Amino acid sequence: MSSKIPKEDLEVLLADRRYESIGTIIQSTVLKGERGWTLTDVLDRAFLDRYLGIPLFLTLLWAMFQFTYEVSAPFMELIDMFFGWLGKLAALIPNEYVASFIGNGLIGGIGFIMVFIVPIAFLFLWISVLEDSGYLARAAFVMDRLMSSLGLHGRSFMPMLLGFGCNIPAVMATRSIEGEKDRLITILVNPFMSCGARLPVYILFAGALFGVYAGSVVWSLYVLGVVVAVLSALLFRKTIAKGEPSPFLLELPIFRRPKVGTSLRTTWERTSIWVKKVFTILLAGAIVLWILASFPWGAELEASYAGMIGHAIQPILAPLGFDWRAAVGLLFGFMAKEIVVETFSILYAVESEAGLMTIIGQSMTPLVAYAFMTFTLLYMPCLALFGTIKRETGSWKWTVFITIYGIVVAYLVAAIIIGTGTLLGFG
Amino acid sequence: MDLERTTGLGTALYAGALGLIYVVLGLAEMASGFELVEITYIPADIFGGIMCILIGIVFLRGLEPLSSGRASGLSFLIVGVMVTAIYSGLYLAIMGSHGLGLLIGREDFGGWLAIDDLRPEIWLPLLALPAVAMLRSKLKRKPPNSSFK
Repeated sequence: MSSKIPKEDLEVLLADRRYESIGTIIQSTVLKGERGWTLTDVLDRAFLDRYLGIPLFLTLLWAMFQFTYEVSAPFMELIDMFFGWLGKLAALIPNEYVASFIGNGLIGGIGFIMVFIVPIAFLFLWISVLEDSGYLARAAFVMDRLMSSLGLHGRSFMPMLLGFGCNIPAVMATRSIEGEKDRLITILVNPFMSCGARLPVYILFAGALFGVYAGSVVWSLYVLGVVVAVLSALLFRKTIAKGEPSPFLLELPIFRRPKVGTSLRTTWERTSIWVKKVFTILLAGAIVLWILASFPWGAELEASYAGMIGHAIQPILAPLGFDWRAAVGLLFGFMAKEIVVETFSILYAVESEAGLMTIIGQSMTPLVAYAFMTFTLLYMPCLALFGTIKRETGSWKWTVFITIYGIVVAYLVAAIIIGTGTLLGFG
Repeated sequence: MDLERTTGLGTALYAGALGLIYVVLGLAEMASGFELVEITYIPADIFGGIMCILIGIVFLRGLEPLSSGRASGLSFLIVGVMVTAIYSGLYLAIMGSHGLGLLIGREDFGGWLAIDDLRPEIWLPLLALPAVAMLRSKLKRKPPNSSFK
């Protein structure tokens, strides 16, 4: 073999030869009977279809988000009622500091966020069913066609899909990508894939302002995340990580009926990680936010430390229509995206999801709410992801770069939404 | 050719009819969503309509191979049936959740009736039952040749 053959072509050549050898050995040693069609043969013809592969993927995603949003609603209401009842109990505590801390800080913060355990568990359940059935590998395969035509690496899409659950394991999963540049691009675009932590923000704002279309709005945000990730990857490929993508070899697993036990176990494992996060990072966030919103003690909310911080940042976000509360939410959302929702519940001092939805419905237009959800989707990785990107890239440069890039992209996309929406008369 | 000519044409007609029903339903849902028309028992749902049209297109995509007797057309029929079943389950689950909303006294569900949520997507997969029976027997039986083309 000539030494001029690029490494990537060599890998394809080796794979071809390997399969050729396997074929020759099987041909000479195995006597095959006539094989009936397998379910995998039949399903792959349609799921991997050149024209229908991606639309089918989008159709299944839409069903996933409709289910996540609509079916979780009454269960959320039940949990909401429980924490509302706890809030009333907290109000009976005679010491006003303690009553405020427990009622507004802990229950208003942690209790409020616990409501979202149901949609998050449903989302994880769907993802696990798609994984176990063998479909998720097909989704990566059909997206590879699109991504290859844009000069990107198909294997990148698998970690990106995992990002729908949580971006941290998704970034860690990029270790399976061999090309250094391909891996860097995949890590850098992963924060744009909408993780489960953003879901509470979407459910709150979409539920408050988009009525029957709330589920579709949530779906559109996930699709927008994919689009921004793909476009950013294209930009990075043409600028900071120039070169050809390395070849994508994917052995598709056979289709199989997902096992209930396995899917439920996976869902529980992922959901329990989220619950741990609620009682660690989000609890700390709730306490910090309560302190900032309650002191100086007795001052009006706008004159509190949280109010001061919010008013200091708000002018930057004013062109997007975000008020000072939204500014505080986005600032603290850096710790974890759920804190955006926690902030609203603490700053509006409401203890029920329904109450907060009503206030948000009155204080924001659907256009601003959509821009706000988009900003939350794109603006920066959470603290834990920030650390993971630093560890996986081994570079502060890339970690800081993607943080700044995310903020700029979020601002631009939100501004485009506001501008276009206003022009179209949705303002 | 994997299918007998008459079987292929019959299956093609059947897939075409299912496809058309879903496309028409999708268009009607979209038209209702844009408030162009109001049709009883057809929900006003733009995105739901788009998904319906996509499902219809999956059925229609199998028309050409089926009508020329190629068994690969059955793939689109079976995947179409699977997606309709998923959507039927989805809308049934949503109906159940709305019922639960009524039971726990959610504000939006005061006058809710199950028939309000009885979208055509819930019962339309019943029309696909003959396809399921046919496809089951096809998958069990050995095909005329060993490859699935």
